Amino acid sequence: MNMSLGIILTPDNRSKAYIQKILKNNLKFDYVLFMNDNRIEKKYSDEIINTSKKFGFDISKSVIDTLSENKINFKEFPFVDINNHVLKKYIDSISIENLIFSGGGILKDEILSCNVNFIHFHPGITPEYRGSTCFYYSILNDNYAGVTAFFMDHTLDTGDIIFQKKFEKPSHQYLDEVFDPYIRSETLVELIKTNKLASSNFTKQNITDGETYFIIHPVLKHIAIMNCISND
Amino acid sequence: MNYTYSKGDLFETSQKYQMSPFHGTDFLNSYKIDRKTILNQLDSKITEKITLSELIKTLLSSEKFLSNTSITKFTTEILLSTFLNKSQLTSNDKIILSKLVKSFEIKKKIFTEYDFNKNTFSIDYKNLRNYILFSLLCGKEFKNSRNLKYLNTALKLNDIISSKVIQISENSNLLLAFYAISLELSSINTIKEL
Repeated sequence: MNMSLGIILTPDNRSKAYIQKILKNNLKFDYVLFMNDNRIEKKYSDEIINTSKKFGFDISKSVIDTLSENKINFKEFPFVDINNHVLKKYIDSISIENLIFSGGGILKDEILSCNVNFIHFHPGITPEYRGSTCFYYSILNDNYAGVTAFFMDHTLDTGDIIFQKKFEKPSHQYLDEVFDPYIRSETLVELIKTNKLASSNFTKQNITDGETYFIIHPVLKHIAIMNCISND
Repeated sequence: MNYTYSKGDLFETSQKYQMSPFHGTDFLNSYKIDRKTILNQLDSKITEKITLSELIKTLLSSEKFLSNTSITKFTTEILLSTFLNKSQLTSNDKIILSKLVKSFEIKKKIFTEYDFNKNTFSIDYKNLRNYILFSLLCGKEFKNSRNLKYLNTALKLNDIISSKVIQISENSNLLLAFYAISLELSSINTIKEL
């Protein structure tokens, strides 16, 4: 049985990869919500654009352009704030079981009280890699990166695990811009294609297990990226 | 290229480190040069050299020593000195250390006193010795555990210490800072030959 699934998009690279990969794979969402603060689109070099295309999405194409060109029905909100009461009210008014979270802050109790499962694609294999910029730490420690899809709860990266997927480290330098959206979107596509949400066998996490990391220092970040591109 | 993460008044305007750009080998070279310059500055002002363990012992007068570190309310300098005096941290010590790391990573400040039960801390965060001791402790914990979380925090602490190097004048602080930055550089070399 397919579970109903929607997505809350934000105007960033992660959402660009999510929506473009979904379309490329002929998949659909029951609801598309778009938090859009009309920020100015960042310009990228040809090298970054070409790298993103190699990994299945075009970083130079905005979320709104992708939605419009593909005539996708979506509900737009003039803010990027997952805890905004207008968004909560809308979510409460629709009938949806699962919503993919793309960003827009840390979910507070009020939004978590909606009658919907929020799903996050975290770029780290939990519980070993919780917190921020985990794929850099994972590349440094293990020479690979991973993504955990889980149901979001009141504490950081501790919700029930739906699915985990490991990825080889990239051989390019654009980890923030391309690799991070790539690994999350690939995991999203596989989750939908293999109907992982239909399972009732989700893995509980023990909050005290594992490690929580914080924003990586530029020196460690450089070492991780050099580690990726030195194998060219 | 200049290493910019140790510049400015980092007590007042902290580094965020978010989405830091990639600059290739030049960046790592500039980092190494910056840290070595700091080490030379410290070395030139050190008047008497003693080992780190002797130094820690002198910091710990008997009445200050924390016999029970399974506590949640403490004066930071005493706690850090007590931890540094141990060859291995206990599981309770590691819980406190993790809480301190989390607090620092969020606020980029080390406060003079903490009460984790009440989730409160003192107003004062400008005691540079606490940053130096905490850097040493994180460096030591990385050496023991190879957990990059601690090396990551030590790098950020040493950016702050480097930004304040001119203000370090007391011999014990000069020595402690010298040991802290040396430990960071040798730790970095164990994961990447610079």
